[in-house]
Amino acid sequence: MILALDTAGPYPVVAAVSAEEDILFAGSGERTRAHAEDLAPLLREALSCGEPSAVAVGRGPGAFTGLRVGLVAAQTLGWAINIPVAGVCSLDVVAVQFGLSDGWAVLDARRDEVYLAQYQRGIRLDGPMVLSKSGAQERIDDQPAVGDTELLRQPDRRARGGTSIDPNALAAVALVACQSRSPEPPEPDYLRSPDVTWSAANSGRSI
Amino acid sequence: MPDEPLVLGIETSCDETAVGIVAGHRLLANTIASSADEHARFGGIVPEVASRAHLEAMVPTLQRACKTAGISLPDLDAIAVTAGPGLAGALVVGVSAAKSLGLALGKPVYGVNHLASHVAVDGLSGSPVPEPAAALLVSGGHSSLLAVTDLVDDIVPLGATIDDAAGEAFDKVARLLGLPFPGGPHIDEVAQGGDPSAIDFPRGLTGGRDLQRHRYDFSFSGLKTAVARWVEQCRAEGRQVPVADVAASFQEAVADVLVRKAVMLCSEQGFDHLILGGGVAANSRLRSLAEQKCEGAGVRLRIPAPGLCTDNGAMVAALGSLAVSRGAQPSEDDFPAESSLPVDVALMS
Ligand SMILES: [Zn+2]
Repeated sequence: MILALDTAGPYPVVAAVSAEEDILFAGSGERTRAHAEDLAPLLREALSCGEPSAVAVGRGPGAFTGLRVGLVAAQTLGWAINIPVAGVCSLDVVAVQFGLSDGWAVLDARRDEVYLAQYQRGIRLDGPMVLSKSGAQERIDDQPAVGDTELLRQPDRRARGGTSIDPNALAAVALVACQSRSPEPPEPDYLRSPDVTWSAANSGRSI
Repeated sequence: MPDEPLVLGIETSCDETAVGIVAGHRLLANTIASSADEHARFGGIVPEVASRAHLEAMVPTLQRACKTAGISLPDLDAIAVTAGPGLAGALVVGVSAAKSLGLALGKPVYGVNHLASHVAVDGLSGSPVPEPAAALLVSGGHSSLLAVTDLVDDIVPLGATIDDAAGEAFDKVARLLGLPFPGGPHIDEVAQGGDPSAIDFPRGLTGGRDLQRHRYDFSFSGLKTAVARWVEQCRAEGRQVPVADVAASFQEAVADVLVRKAVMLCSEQGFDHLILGGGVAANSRLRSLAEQKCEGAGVRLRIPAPGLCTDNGAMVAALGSLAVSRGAQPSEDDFPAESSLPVDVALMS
Protein backbone atom coordinates (compact mmCIF):
# COMPACT_ATOMS: atom_id res chain seq x y z
CA MET A 1 0.00 0.00 0.00
CA ILE A 2 1.14 3.53 -0.75
CA LEU A 3 0.35 6.28 1.71
CA ALA A 4 -0.09 9.75 0.20
CA LEU A 5 -0.51 13.06 1.99
CA ASP A 6 -0.54 16.72 1.09
CA THR A 7 -0.79 19.79 3.31
CA ALA A 8 0.04 22.49 0.78
CA GLY A 9 -3.57 23.66 0.55
CA PRO A 10 -6.03 24.88 3.15
CA TYR A 11 -6.89 21.34 4.33
CA PRO A 12 -4.76 18.26 4.87
CA VAL A 13 -5.46 15.52 2.32
CA VAL A 14 -4.63 11.83 2.79
CA ALA A 15 -5.03 8.78 0.57
CA ALA A 16 -4.06 5.13 0.74
CA VAL A 17 -3.81 3.19 -2.51
CA SER A 18 -3.03 -0.48 -3.10
CA ALA A 19 -0.45 -1.82 -5.54
CA GLU A 20 -3.42 -2.79 -7.74
CA GLU A 21 -4.32 0.89 -7.78
CA ASP A 22 -7.42 0.49 -5.65
CA ILE A 23 -8.12 3.51 -3.49
CA LEU A 24 -8.34 2.13 0.06
CA PHE A 25 -8.81 5.47 1.77
CA ALA A 26 -9.36 9.05 0.64
CA GLY A 27 -10.03 11.86 3.07
CA SER A 28 -9.62 15.57 3.73
CA GLY A 29 -9.67 17.82 6.77
CA GLU A 30 -12.49 20.30 7.15
CA ARG A 31 -10.99 23.14 9.14
CA THR A 32 -8.62 25.68 7.63
CA ARG A 33 -5.31 26.35 9.30
CA ALA A 34 -5.62 23.17 11.35
CA HIS A 35 -3.15 20.87 9.62
CA ALA A 36 -1.34 19.98 12.84
CA GLU A 37 -4.66 18.94 14.39
CA ASP A 38 -6.44 17.30 11.48
CA LEU A 39 -3.69 15.40 9.69
CA ALA A 40 -3.04 12.74 12.33
CA PRO A 41 -6.63 11.40 12.56
CA LEU A 42 -6.65 11.04 8.75
CA LEU A 43 -3.31 9.25 8.84
CA ARG A 44 -4.59 6.86 11.49
CA GLU A 45 -7.55 5.94 9.28
CA ALA A 46 -5.34 5.47 6.25
CA LEU A 47 -2.85 3.33 8.18
CA SER A 48 -5.68 1.11 9.40
CA CYS A 49 -6.10 -0.02 5.75
CA GLY A 50 -2.74 -1.74 5.60
CA GLU A 51 1.00 -1.48 5.96
CA PRO A 52 2.54 1.16 3.73
CA SER A 53 5.48 0.20 1.55
CA ALA A 54 6.16 3.80 0.50
CA VAL A 55 5.00 7.33 1.27
CA ALA A 56 4.39 10.21 -1.13
CA VAL A 57 4.04 13.73 0.17
CA GLY A 58 3.11 17.07 -1.38
CA ARG A 59 6.10 19.41 -1.34
CA GLY A 60 4.07 22.45 -2.28
CA PRO A 61 4.25 25.17 -3.24
CA GLY A 62 1.87 26.33 -0.54
CA ALA A 63 1.57 28.11 2.81
CA PHE A 64 4.81 27.36 4.67
CA THR A 65 3.52 26.32 8.08
CA GLY A 66 0.95 23.88 6.73
CA LEU A 67 3.38 22.51 4.19
CA ARG A 68 5.89 21.60 6.90
CA VAL A 69 3.24 19.68 8.89
CA GLY A 70 2.82 17.16 6.07
CA LEU A 71 6.48 16.98 5.12
CA VAL A 72 7.72 16.35 8.65
CA ALA A 73 4.98 13.75 9.18
CA ALA A 74 5.95 11.90 6.00
CA GLN A 75 9.69 12.08 6.68
CA THR A 76 9.27 10.88 10.27
CA LEU A 77 6.94 8.04 9.31
CA GLY A 78 9.25 6.90 6.52
CA TRP A 79 12.22 6.94 8.86
CA ALA A 80 10.38 5.17 11.70
CA ILE A 81 9.26 2.19 9.64
CA ASN A 82 12.12 2.36 7.15
CA ILE A 83 10.24 2.88 3.89
CA PRO A 84 11.03 5.30 1.04
CA VAL A 85 9.44 8.76 0.92
CA ALA A 86 8.89 10.56 -2.37
CA GLY A 87 7.99 14.19 -2.89
CA VAL A 88 5.27 15.24 -5.30
CA CYS A 89 4.58 18.69 -6.70
CA SER A 90 1.21 19.85 -5.39
CA LEU A 91 0.54 21.56 -8.73
CA ASP A 92 0.91 18.18 -10.49
CA VAL A 93 -2.00 16.97 -8.40
CA VAL A 94 -4.07 19.95 -9.47
CA ALA A 95 -3.23 19.24 -13.12
CA VAL A 96 -4.33 15.61 -12.74
CA GLN A 97 -7.49 16.43 -10.85
CA PHE A 98 -8.67 18.78 -13.60
CA GLY A 99 -7.52 16.45 -16.39
CA LEU A 100 -5.10 19.03 -17.75
CA SER A 101 -2.99 17.87 -20.67
CA ASP A 102 -1.53 21.07 -22.11
CA GLY A 103 -1.57 24.36 -20.21
CA TRP A 104 -1.11 25.68 -16.69
CA ALA A 105 -2.04 24.69 -13.14
CA VAL A 106 -2.49 27.65 -10.82
CA LEU A 107 -2.78 27.97 -7.05
CA ASP A 108 -3.26 30.95 -4.76
CA ALA A 109 0.00 32.25 -3.28
CA ARG A 110 -1.58 35.22 -1.42
CA ARG A 111 0.09 38.66 -1.48
CA ASP A 112 -1.39 39.21 -4.96
CA GLU A 113 0.71 36.39 -6.37
CA VAL A 114 0.05 32.88 -7.69
CA TYR A 115 1.97 29.62 -7.87
CA LEU A 116 1.95 28.02 -11.27
CA ALA A 117 3.46 25.33 -13.45
CA GLN A 118 3.21 24.54 -17.14
CA TYR A 119 2.27 21.12 -18.56
CA GLN A 120 2.57 19.46 -21.95
CA ARG A 121 0.82 16.14 -22.51
CA GLY A 122 0.38 15.94 -18.76
CA ILE A 123 4.11 16.28 -18.04
CA ARG A 124 5.42 19.30 -16.13
CA LEU A 125 7.47 21.38 -18.52
CA ASP A 126 8.18 24.44 -16.41
CA GLY A 127 7.75 25.42 -12.77
CA PRO A 128 6.65 25.41 -10.10
CA MET A 129 7.15 29.15 -9.88
CA VAL A 130 5.61 32.11 -8.11
CA LEU A 131 4.55 35.14 -10.15
CA SER A 132 2.51 38.27 -9.68
CA LYS A 133 -1.01 37.94 -11.01
CA SER A 134 -0.18 40.16 -13.95
CA GLY A 135 3.03 38.27 -14.63
CA ALA A 136 1.09 35.02 -14.57
CA GLN A 137 -1.57 36.39 -16.91
CA GLU A 138 1.17 37.35 -19.33
CA ARG A 139 2.82 33.92 -19.17
CA ILE A 140 -0.42 31.99 -19.56
CA ASP A 141 -1.88 34.32 -22.17
CA ASP A 142 -4.62 32.38 -23.99
CA GLN A 143 -3.43 28.88 -23.06
CA PRO A 144 -5.70 26.66 -20.98
CA ALA A 145 -5.36 26.96 -17.21
CA VAL A 146 -6.87 25.09 -14.24
CA GLY A 147 -7.00 25.59 -10.48
CA ASP A 148 -7.32 29.04 -8.92
CA THR A 149 -7.71 30.69 -12.31
CA GLU A 150 -10.48 32.95 -11.00
CA LEU A 151 -7.79 34.89 -9.14
CA LEU A 152 -6.20 35.94 -12.39
CA ARG A 153 -9.40 37.67 -13.42
CA GLN A 154 -10.14 39.14 -10.01
CA PRO A 155 -9.15 42.75 -9.52
CA ASP A 156 -9.68 42.43 -5.74
CA ARG A 157 -6.32 41.92 -4.04
CA ARG A 158 -7.98 40.10 -1.14
CA ALA A 159 -9.62 37.48 -3.33
CA ARG A 160 -8.54 33.97 -2.35
CA GLY A 161 -8.27 30.80 -4.30
CA GLY A 162 -10.69 28.00 -3.58
CA THR A 163 -9.00 24.94 -5.06
CA SER A 164 -8.50 22.10 -2.66
CA ILE A 165 -6.49 19.03 -3.49
CA ASP A 166 -8.55 15.96 -4.36
CA PRO A 167 -7.29 12.87 -2.50
CA ASN A 168 -8.05 10.62 -5.48
CA ALA A 169 -5.89 12.75 -7.76
CA LEU A 170 -3.23 12.77 -5.05
CA ALA A 171 -3.33 8.96 -4.97
CA ALA A 172 -2.80 8.80 -8.74
CA VAL A 173 0.19 11.16 -8.63
CA ALA A 174 1.58 9.32 -5.60
CA LEU A 175 1.51 5.96 -7.39
CA VAL A 176 3.57 7.35 -10.24
CA ALA A 177 6.02 9.08 -7.87
CA CYS A 178 6.58 5.96 -5.79
CA GLN A 179 7.22 3.88 -8.91
CA SER A 180 9.66 6.42 -10.31
CA ARG A 181 13.35 5.56 -10.29
CA SER A 182 14.30 9.10 -9.39
CA PRO A 183 11.45 10.61 -7.41
CA GLU A 184 11.58 14.19 -6.16
CA PRO A 185 12.88 14.56 -2.60
CA PRO A 186 10.35 14.98 0.23
CA GLU A 187 11.48 18.55 0.80
CA PRO A 188 9.52 21.79 0.66
CA ASP A 189 9.29 23.87 -2.49
CA TYR A 190 9.00 27.20 -0.70
CA LEU A 191 9.78 29.32 -3.79
CA ARG A 192 10.13 32.32 -1.47
CA SER A 193 12.82 33.35 0.99
CA PRO A 194 11.77 33.85 4.60
CA ASP A 195 10.79 37.37 5.55
CA VAL A 196 13.71 38.53 7.59
CA THR A 197 13.25 41.88 9.21
CA TRP A 198 14.26 43.35 12.51
CA SER A 199 10.69 43.13 13.79
CA ALA A 200 10.38 39.52 12.64
CA ALA A 201 13.58 38.70 14.50
CA ASN A 202 12.26 40.31 17.62
CA SER A 203 9.02 38.39 17.69
CA GLY A 204 10.74 35.12 18.53
CA ARG A 205 11.99 34.31 22.04
CA SER A 206 13.19 31.21 23.67
CA ILE A 207 10.78 30.25 26.46
CA MET B 1 2.89 0.45 33.87
CA PRO B 2 6.59 0.00 33.23
CA ASP B 3 8.81 0.93 36.18
CA GLU B 4 11.04 3.11 34.08
CA PRO B 5 9.01 4.19 31.05
CA LEU B 6 11.22 4.62 28.00
CA VAL B 7 10.11 7.89 26.46
CA LEU B 8 11.35 9.96 23.54
CA GLY B 9 10.73 13.71 23.84
CA ILE B 10 10.67 16.25 21.02
CA GLU B 11 11.10 19.99 21.57
CA THR B 12 10.75 22.65 18.83
CA SER B 13 9.25 25.64 20.64
CA CYS B 14 11.94 28.10 19.55
CA ASP B 15 15.23 27.78 17.66
CA GLU B 16 16.38 24.41 18.97
CA THR B 17 15.40 21.13 17.38
CA ALA B 18 15.89 18.83 20.33
CA VAL B 19 15.26 15.17 21.01
CA GLY B 20 15.78 13.54 24.38
CA ILE B 21 15.34 9.97 25.50
CA VAL B 22 14.85 8.91 29.12
CA ALA B 23 14.12 5.70 30.95
CA GLY B 24 12.25 6.86 34.04
CA HIS B 25 14.72 9.14 35.81
CA ARG B 26 17.68 8.06 33.71
CA LEU B 27 18.87 10.29 30.88
CA LEU B 28 19.87 8.26 27.82
CA ALA B 29 20.20 10.96 25.15
CA ASN B 30 19.94 14.72 24.92
CA THR B 31 20.50 15.67 21.28
CA ILE B 32 20.19 19.22 20.00
CA ALA B 33 20.45 20.90 16.61
CA SER B 34 20.31 24.67 16.91
CA SER B 35 19.63 27.32 14.30
CA ALA B 36 20.96 29.99 16.70
CA ASP B 37 23.82 30.91 14.37
CA GLU B 38 21.38 31.69 11.58
CA HIS B 39 19.56 34.15 13.85
CA ALA B 40 22.55 35.79 15.53
CA ARG B 41 23.09 38.34 12.78
CA PHE B 42 19.49 39.54 13.11
CA GLY B 43 19.83 40.11 16.85
CA GLY B 44 16.80 37.93 17.55
CA ILE B 45 15.03 34.81 16.44
CA VAL B 46 13.33 34.86 13.04
CA PRO B 47 10.37 32.48 13.32
CA GLU B 48 10.29 31.40 9.67
CA VAL B 49 14.03 30.70 9.66
CA ALA B 50 13.64 28.65 12.85
CA SER B 51 10.70 26.67 11.44
CA ARG B 52 12.57 25.83 8.23
CA ALA B 53 15.53 24.64 10.26
CA HIS B 54 13.28 22.43 12.42
CA LEU B 55 12.00 20.57 9.37
CA GLU B 56 15.52 20.01 8.06
CA ALA B 57 16.87 18.87 11.41
CA MET B 58 14.02 16.69 12.66
CA VAL B 59 14.82 13.25 11.25
CA PRO B 60 18.63 13.61 11.60
CA THR B 61 18.16 14.67 15.24
CA LEU B 62 15.80 11.76 15.95
CA GLN B 63 18.33 9.44 14.38
CA ARG B 64 21.24 10.76 16.43
CA ALA B 65 19.29 10.59 19.68
CA CYS B 66 18.30 6.96 19.13
CA LYS B 67 21.88 6.08 18.27
CA THR B 68 23.23 7.84 21.37
CA ALA B 69 20.66 6.14 23.60
CA GLY B 70 21.29 2.78 21.96
CA ILE B 71 17.59 2.01 21.74
CA SER B 72 15.44 0.73 18.94
CA LEU B 73 12.14 2.48 18.28
CA PRO B 74 9.82 -0.45 19.11
CA ASP B 75 11.22 -0.43 22.67
CA LEU B 76 9.71 2.99 23.37
CA ASP B 77 6.75 3.18 25.72
CA ALA B 78 5.60 6.62 24.58
CA ILE B 79 6.41 9.79 22.65
CA ALA B 80 6.24 13.22 24.30
CA VAL B 81 6.34 16.58 22.56
CA THR B 82 6.18 20.24 23.48
CA ALA B 83 2.66 21.41 22.60
CA GLY B 84 3.29 24.96 23.85
CA PRO B 85 3.98 27.68 24.72
CA GLY B 86 6.31 28.79 21.95
CA LEU B 87 6.43 29.98 18.34
CA ALA B 88 3.33 28.62 16.57
CA GLY B 89 5.07 27.71 13.32
CA ALA B 90 7.95 26.06 15.14
CA LEU B 91 5.76 24.07 17.56
CA VAL B 92 3.71 22.40 14.80
CA VAL B 93 6.83 20.82 13.27
CA GLY B 94 7.56 18.95 16.49
CA VAL B 95 3.92 18.14 17.18
CA SER B 96 3.41 16.74 13.69
CA ALA B 97 6.61 14.68 13.88
CA ALA B 98 5.59 13.27 17.27
CA LYS B 99 2.11 12.32 16.13
CA SER B 100 3.49 10.65 13.03
CA LEU B 101 6.08 8.75 15.06
CA GLY B 102 3.38 7.62 17.49
CA LEU B 103 1.17 6.39 14.62
CA ALA B 104 4.04 4.65 12.87
CA LEU B 105 5.05 2.78 16.02
CA GLY B 106 1.62 2.34 17.57
CA LYS B 107 2.73 4.25 20.69
CA PRO B 108 0.84 6.83 22.76
CA VAL B 109 1.72 10.50 22.33
CA TYR B 110 1.71 13.07 25.13
CA GLY B 111 1.53 16.76 24.21
CA VAL B 112 3.22 18.46 27.16
CA ASN B 113 3.79 21.95 28.50
CA HIS B 114 7.22 23.40 27.86
CA LEU B 115 7.30 25.27 31.17
CA ALA B 116 6.29 22.24 33.23
CA SER B 117 9.02 20.33 31.36
CA HIS B 118 11.61 22.85 32.55
CA VAL B 119 10.65 21.82 36.09
CA ALA B 120 10.34 18.09 35.34
CA VAL B 121 13.91 17.91 34.02
CA ASP B 122 15.08 18.26 37.62
CA GLY B 123 14.00 14.63 38.04
CA LEU B 124 16.92 13.55 35.85
CA SER B 125 19.49 14.86 38.32
CA GLY B 126 19.57 11.71 40.45
CA SER B 127 16.45 11.89 42.58
CA PRO B 128 12.78 12.52 41.80
CA VAL B 129 11.44 16.08 41.61
CA PRO B 130 10.32 17.05 45.11
CA GLU B 131 6.60 17.73 45.27
CA PRO B 132 5.43 20.13 46.51
CA ALA B 133 8.07 22.65 45.55
CA ALA B 134 8.35 26.22 44.40
CA ALA B 135 9.86 26.75 40.94
CA LEU B 136 11.54 29.78 39.44
CA LEU B 137 11.50 29.64 35.64
CA VAL B 138 13.59 32.21 33.85
CA SER B 139 14.24 32.39 30.13
CA GLY B 140 14.07 34.63 27.10
CA GLY B 141 10.29 34.53 27.12
CA HIS B 142 9.35 33.84 30.73
CA SER B 143 10.09 34.80 34.30
CA SER B 144 7.67 32.97 36.55
CA LEU B 145 7.26 31.72 40.07
CA LEU B 146 5.22 28.55 40.34
CA ALA B 147 3.76 26.40 43.08
CA VAL B 148 4.24 22.82 41.94
CA THR B 149 2.10 20.39 43.91
CA ASP B 150 1.88 17.72 41.21
CA LEU B 151 3.94 18.09 38.03
CA VAL B 152 1.37 16.34 35.91
CA ASP B 153 -1.74 18.07 37.11
CA ASP B 154 -1.28 20.72 39.76
CA ILE B 155 0.95 23.65 38.88
CA VAL B 156 -0.22 27.10 39.95
CA PRO B 157 1.42 30.30 38.71
CA LEU B 158 2.00 32.72 41.60
CA GLY B 159 4.00 35.42 39.88
CA ALA B 160 5.36 36.46 36.50
CA THR B 161 7.05 39.35 34.78
CA ILE B 162 4.76 42.28 34.10
CA ASP B 163 6.91 43.49 31.18
CA ASP B 164 10.19 42.03 29.86
CA ALA B 165 11.37 38.52 30.66
CA ALA B 166 14.75 38.24 32.38
CA GLY B 167 16.39 36.69 29.31
CA GLU B 168 14.98 39.48 27.15
CA ALA B 169 16.63 42.03 29.44
CA PHE B 170 19.93 40.17 29.06
CA ASP B 171 19.59 40.33 25.26
CA LYS B 172 18.77 44.04 25.26
CA VAL B 173 21.55 45.00 27.64
CA ALA B 174 24.03 42.89 25.66
CA ARG B 175 23.03 44.85 22.59
CA LEU B 176 23.60 48.15 24.42
CA LEU B 177 27.06 46.97 25.39
CA GLY B 178 27.88 45.75 21.90
CA LEU B 179 27.86 42.09 22.93
CA PRO B 180 26.48 39.40 20.58
CA PHE B 181 23.09 37.65 20.68
CA PRO B 182 22.03 35.73 22.71
CA GLY B 183 23.02 38.07 25.51
CA GLY B 184 22.89 35.77 28.55
CA PRO B 185 26.10 33.77 28.09
CA HIS B 186 28.06 36.79 26.87
CA ILE B 187 27.08 39.02 29.77
CA ASP B 188 27.84 36.19 32.17
CA GLU B 189 31.32 35.87 30.71
CA VAL B 190 32.12 39.58 30.59
CA ALA B 191 30.75 40.09 34.12
CA GLN B 192 33.36 37.72 35.54
CA GLY B 193 35.87 40.55 35.23
CA GLY B 194 33.60 43.29 36.62
CA ASP B 195 32.50 44.65 39.99
CA PRO B 196 28.86 43.71 40.71
CA SER B 197 28.54 46.57 43.21
CA ALA B 198 30.03 49.22 40.91
CA ILE B 199 26.65 50.60 39.88
CA ASP B 200 23.49 50.41 41.96
CA PHE B 201 20.89 49.57 39.31
CA PRO B 202 17.21 49.52 40.35
CA ARG B 203 15.49 46.37 41.64
CA GLY B 204 11.97 46.42 40.16
CA LEU B 205 8.87 45.73 42.29
CA THR B 206 10.81 45.18 45.49
CA GLY B 207 9.65 48.05 47.65
CA GLY B 208 6.59 49.77 49.13
CA ARG B 209 3.26 49.42 47.39
CA ASP B 210 4.84 47.65 44.40
CA LEU B 211 5.83 44.84 46.69
CA GLN B 212 2.30 44.64 48.09
CA ARG B 213 0.59 44.66 44.72
CA HIS B 214 3.14 42.56 42.83
CA ARG B 215 4.54 40.43 45.60
CA TYR B 216 5.82 37.59 43.41
CA ASP B 217 5.91 39.47 40.11
CA PHE B 218 8.95 40.80 38.28
CA SER B 219 9.70 43.84 36.14
CA PHE B 220 12.89 44.19 34.12
CA SER B 221 11.94 46.95 31.73
CA GLY B 222 12.91 49.74 34.18
CA LEU B 223 16.25 48.06 34.83
CA LYS B 224 16.98 47.87 31.12
CA THR B 225 16.13 51.57 30.72
CA ALA B 226 18.34 52.47 33.69
CA VAL B 227 21.28 50.63 32.12
CA ALA B 228 20.65 52.37 28.80
CA ARG B 229 20.61 55.81 30.50
CA TRP B 230 23.74 55.06 32.46
CA VAL B 231 25.61 53.97 29.33
CA GLU B 232 24.37 57.01 27.36
CA GLN B 233 25.43 59.35 30.12
CA CYS B 234 28.85 57.78 30.20
CA ARG B 235 29.26 58.20 26.45
CA ALA B 236 27.95 61.78 26.55
CA GLU B 237 30.64 62.63 29.07
CA GLY B 238 33.23 61.16 26.76
CA ARG B 239 34.15 58.40 29.20
CA GLN B 240 34.80 54.86 28.09
CA VAL B 241 31.97 52.53 29.13
CA PRO B 242 33.24 50.09 31.80
CA VAL B 243 31.55 47.16 30.08
CA ALA B 244 32.55 44.55 32.65
CA ASP B 245 31.24 46.64 35.58
CA VAL B 246 27.98 47.44 33.79
CA ALA B 247 27.48 43.77 32.89
CA ALA B 248 28.29 42.58 36.42
CA SER B 249 26.08 45.21 38.09
CA PHE B 250 23.18 44.52 35.74
CA GLN B 251 23.50 40.78 36.24
CA GLU B 252 23.62 41.32 40.01
CA ALA B 253 20.39 43.33 39.90
CA VAL B 254 18.58 40.62 37.93
CA ALA B 255 19.86 37.77 40.09
CA ASP B 256 19.11 39.71 43.28
CA VAL B 257 15.45 40.30 42.43
CA LEU B 258 14.86 36.79 41.14
CA VAL B 259 16.40 35.11 44.16
CA ARG B 260 14.94 37.52 46.69
CA LYS B 261 11.38 36.91 45.50
CA ALA B 262 11.84 33.17 45.08
CA VAL B 263 13.17 32.77 48.62
CA MET B 264 10.45 35.04 49.96
CA LEU B 265 7.85 32.84 48.27
CA CYS B 266 9.34 29.71 49.84
CA SER B 267 9.33 31.24 53.34
CA GLU B 268 5.87 32.74 53.08
CA GLN B 269 4.17 29.74 51.46
CA GLY B 270 6.09 27.06 53.32
CA PHE B 271 8.02 25.41 50.48
CA ASP B 272 11.11 23.44 51.54
CA HIS B 273 12.38 23.10 47.97
CA LEU B 274 13.10 25.60 45.23
CA ILE B 275 13.69 24.37 41.66
CA LEU B 276 15.39 26.64 39.15
CA GLY B 277 14.77 26.17 35.44
CA GLY B 278 14.94 27.85 32.03
CA GLY B 279 17.85 29.18 30.01
CA VAL B 280 18.69 31.99 32.45
CA ALA B 281 19.14 29.38 35.20
CA ALA B 282 22.41 28.57 33.39
CA ASN B 283 23.68 31.99 34.54
CA SER B 284 26.55 31.53 36.99
CA ARG B 285 25.69 34.48 39.24
CA LEU B 286 22.05 33.46 39.52
CA ARG B 287 23.16 29.97 40.49
CA SER B 288 25.64 31.06 43.13
CA LEU B 289 23.40 33.70 44.65
CA ALA B 290 20.50 31.25 44.79
CA GLU B 291 22.70 28.71 46.54
CA GLN B 292 23.82 31.27 49.10
CA LYS B 293 20.37 32.69 49.86
CA CYS B 294 18.60 29.33 49.94
CA GLU B 295 21.12 28.00 52.39
CA GLY B 296 20.55 31.02 54.61
CA ALA B 297 16.79 30.50 54.50
CA GLY B 298 16.87 26.73 55.00
CA VAL B 299 15.45 26.07 51.53
CA ARG B 300 16.83 23.17 49.53
CA LEU B 301 17.84 24.38 46.10
CA ARG B 302 17.73 22.21 43.01
CA ILE B 303 19.23 23.39 39.74
CA PRO B 304 19.56 21.10 36.74
CA ALA B 305 22.94 20.97 34.99
CA PRO B 306 23.35 23.97 32.64
CA GLY B 307 22.80 21.78 29.56
CA LEU B 308 19.42 20.75 30.93
CA CYS B 309 18.36 24.31 31.87
CA THR B 310 18.37 25.60 28.31
CA ASP B 311 15.73 24.18 25.97
CA ASN B 312 16.18 20.48 25.32
CA GLY B 313 14.28 17.31 24.51
CA ALA B 314 15.22 15.43 27.67
CA MET B 315 13.00 17.72 29.74
CA VAL B 316 10.05 16.90 27.50
CA ALA B 317 10.80 13.20 27.74
CA ALA B 318 11.13 13.54 31.54
CA LEU B 319 7.64 15.01 31.86
CA GLY B 320 6.30 12.41 29.41
CA SER B 321 7.84 9.61 31.43
CA LEU B 322 6.29 10.98 34.60
CA ALA B 323 2.91 11.13 32.85
CA VAL B 324 3.22 7.50 31.78
CA SER B 325 4.24 6.25 35.20
CA ARG B 326 1.35 8.12 36.82
CA GLY B 327 -1.12 6.58 34.40
CA ALA B 328 -2.10 9.86 32.73
CA GLN B 329 -4.23 9.68 29.59
CA PRO B 330 -2.30 10.19 26.33
CA SER B 331 -3.32 13.16 24.16
CA GLU B 332 -5.90 12.71 21.41
CA ASP B 333 -4.76 12.49 17.77
CA ASP B 334 -6.03 15.99 17.04
CA PHE B 335 -4.43 17.90 19.94
CA PRO B 336 -3.21 21.32 18.77
CA ALA B 337 0.03 23.21 19.24
CA GLU B 338 -0.80 26.23 21.40
CA SER B 339 1.61 29.13 21.25
CA SER B 340 0.29 30.62 24.50
CA LEU B 341 -0.48 27.44 26.43
CA PRO B 342 -0.95 28.44 30.09
CA VAL B 343 1.46 26.93 32.60
CA ASP B 344 -1.28 25.17 34.56
CA VAL B 345 -2.04 22.87 31.60
CA ALA B 346 0.78 20.33 31.94
CA LEU B 347 -0.67 17.80 29.50
CA MET B 348 -2.87 18.25 26.45
CA SER B 349 -6.06 16.19 26.48
ZN1 LIG C 1 12.43 27.03 27.54
